Amino acid sequence: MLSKIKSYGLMGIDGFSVSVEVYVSGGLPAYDTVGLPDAAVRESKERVRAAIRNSGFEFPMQRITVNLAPADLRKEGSVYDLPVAIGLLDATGQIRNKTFAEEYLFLGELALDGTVRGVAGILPMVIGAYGQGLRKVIVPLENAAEASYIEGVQVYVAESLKHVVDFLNGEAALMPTPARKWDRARIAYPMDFADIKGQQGAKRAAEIAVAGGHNLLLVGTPGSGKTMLARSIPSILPELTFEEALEITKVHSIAGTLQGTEGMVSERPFRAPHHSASTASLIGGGQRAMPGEISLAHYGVLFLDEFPEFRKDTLEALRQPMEDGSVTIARAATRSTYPADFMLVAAMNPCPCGNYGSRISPCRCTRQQIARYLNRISGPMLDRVDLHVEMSEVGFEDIASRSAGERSETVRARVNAARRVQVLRYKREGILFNAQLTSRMTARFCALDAQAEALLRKAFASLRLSARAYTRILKVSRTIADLEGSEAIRSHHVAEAVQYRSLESKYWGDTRR
Amino acid sequence: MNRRELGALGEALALRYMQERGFALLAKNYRALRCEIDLVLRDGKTIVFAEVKTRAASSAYGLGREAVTTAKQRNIAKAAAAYLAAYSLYDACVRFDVLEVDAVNNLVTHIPGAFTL
Repeated sequence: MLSKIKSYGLMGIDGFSVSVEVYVSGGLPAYDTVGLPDAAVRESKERVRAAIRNSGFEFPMQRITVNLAPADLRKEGSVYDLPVAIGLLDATGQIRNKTFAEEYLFLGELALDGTVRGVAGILPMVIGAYGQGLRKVIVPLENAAEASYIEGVQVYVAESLKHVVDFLNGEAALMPTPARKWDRARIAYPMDFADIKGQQGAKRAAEIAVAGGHNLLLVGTPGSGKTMLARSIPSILPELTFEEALEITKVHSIAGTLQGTEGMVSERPFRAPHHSASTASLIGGGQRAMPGEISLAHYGVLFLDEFPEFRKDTLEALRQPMEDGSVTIARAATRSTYPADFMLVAAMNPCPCGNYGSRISPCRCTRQQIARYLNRISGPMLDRVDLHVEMSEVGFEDIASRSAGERSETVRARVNAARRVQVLRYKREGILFNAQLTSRMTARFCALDAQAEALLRKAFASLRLSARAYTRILKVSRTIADLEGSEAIRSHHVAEAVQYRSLESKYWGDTRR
Repeated sequence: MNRRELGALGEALALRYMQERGFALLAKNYRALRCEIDLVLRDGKTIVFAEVKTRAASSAYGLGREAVTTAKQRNIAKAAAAYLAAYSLYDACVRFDVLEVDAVNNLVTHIPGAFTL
C-alpha cells in the first residue's frame, strides 16, 4: 500500500532528487499532500484524480497521503503530477511490475484526460538525476528533445498516463528516444558587418569586445548606426562549444524559453530588453526567483539600447553580476543562483537632444542638461565597461561607396582564432576567455614589457584611471594581442586598449571630477 | 405529511434499496458529537456512511445531492470518526455515499463515494 517513486526538484539551476511517497490506507477517505508543496503541487490532486479515472484506472476511495521528500525543501510546479499518479496506481496494485520504481525517474504534468504535458526545467533535472546515478527517465513529449542530449541517459517519451502504465506492465513499447548529437546552428544572420558603411573604429572595437568577451559602450549621435552595429554583433560572435550550449540551455530550460529550438540552444543568446525593464526582469526575481535577462544572456550579449533611459537603480543592480558572472536572487521562500556571464553592449546618445559633438546639427542642450544626462551612468558602471567608442555621422562618401566592408564571416574567423588561443591558454584555469581573468590570473597572463608598462603608467596618470580600469585595460590589451596572434603584449596593443578608455574623460571628466 | 415524516419515508426507501443490493445495515440515525449519520452500512469490507436526501416534488429546491454542503460533509465525517472510534474500526475502508430519494416516484439514486475529505 506504500509506493516510492523517483522524481526531481530544482533550486536555481541545480536540483535535488525528490522521492514521491504515496501511502493508501483505510480510514476516512481523504487526500493530503505534504512535504512543502506550493499551490501548483497541491492542485495536482485534482489533475491526478481526473487523469487516473479518464485513463480507465480506479481512483481509490481511501485515505491517501502523498509525501514529497525531503520534507524541508520547497516543491514547485506541476512536474510531480505524473510521479504522484504512478505512485497511486502502484500503491493500489494497478501496476504489476514490482521493480520499476527503482529504475525510472518520472517527470511531467498531467492533463485531465491523462495526456502528459511538458514542464519547464527538464534539462537541469535530467543532468542532476544523471549525476546521482539514474539512467532511465520518463519525460513529456514536449521535453524529449532537450533531455536527449545527455549522453548515457535513456529518455523515454510519455504521451499519456495509460501509455506509461502499459509500458511498465510490459504491454506496450516505449522506445527510448535516440540520443542526439548537438550541432551548431548554421543560420543566416539578418545583418552583416559588410552592410555597415564606414564606422571602422566602432567595428574594430566590436571585434575586440567579442573576441575577449569584453563590455562595449557605443556613444553617438542619432542615426550614426549604434543600434545597427549592436544588432549585427550576433553575426561575429564566436562559435559555441557544447559545454557552453549546455549551460545556456539549463537557464533557458528553467525560464521556459526553449520553444522553437531543437531542445538545445545552438547559438549565443542576444537579449535586448527595452529600457522600461524592471530590476526584477533584468536581474531575475519574482516569487519563484526566476532567471532574468542577464541570465538569459549568459555566454551571449545583453544589449541595452538608450542606456541612460534605464532606471538608475536597475542599472546599478547590474554591477555586481557583471563582476561575478553570476547572480544570487534571494526571496523569502527561495534562494537561487543563476549564471550571468554576459557581454554588455550599451548604446547611448551623448546628450538629451542627441547632437552634442555632431558635425552637422547643432546641439541645443545646456551644459547642465548634458551633465545631468551623462551622470545617469554612474562612475562605477562606466568603470566596468572596457571599451568606449564614439560613433559620429557617416559621411556621404561612406554611404554611397560601393566598396563593401569586411564580411561578418571574415571577422568571425579572426574572433574564433583568438578564442581558440584563449581556451587553450586557460585550459587549466577553468575559464574560457580574457574577460573572465581574475586579478591573480591577470598578473600571470598579461605581463607587459618595459615599453608597454611605461605607456600604461603615463595613461594611468593622465586619464586618472581606477585600479579596476587598470586591470580591464590589461585584459583588453591581452585580447588585442590575441587577435594579432601575438603571445607577448606590446606597447601598441596597450596603446589601442588605452584609447578605448579616453571617452570617459572627454564626456564625463568635467561633469564628475 | 410533514418534513420529519417525509425524511423517515425517504430513509426507509433508501434502506430497502441498499439492502436489496447486498448492503448490510449497521446503524440507523447514528448520533455522536451533535452530528448525525442517516445510515451506516457495510459493503463487503467497506463501511459506508450514507446521507439520505429526500425530495417530495421534483427539483424546486434543487437536487438532493446539492444539499450535502461542505459543512454537512464535515458533520458527517465527524460522526463517522466517532463511529469508527466507538467500534475500534481504525483501519477499515470507509466511504461516504449520498442517496437521493424521489418520494413521488419511489426512485432512489445512489452516489457512491460522493465526497472525500
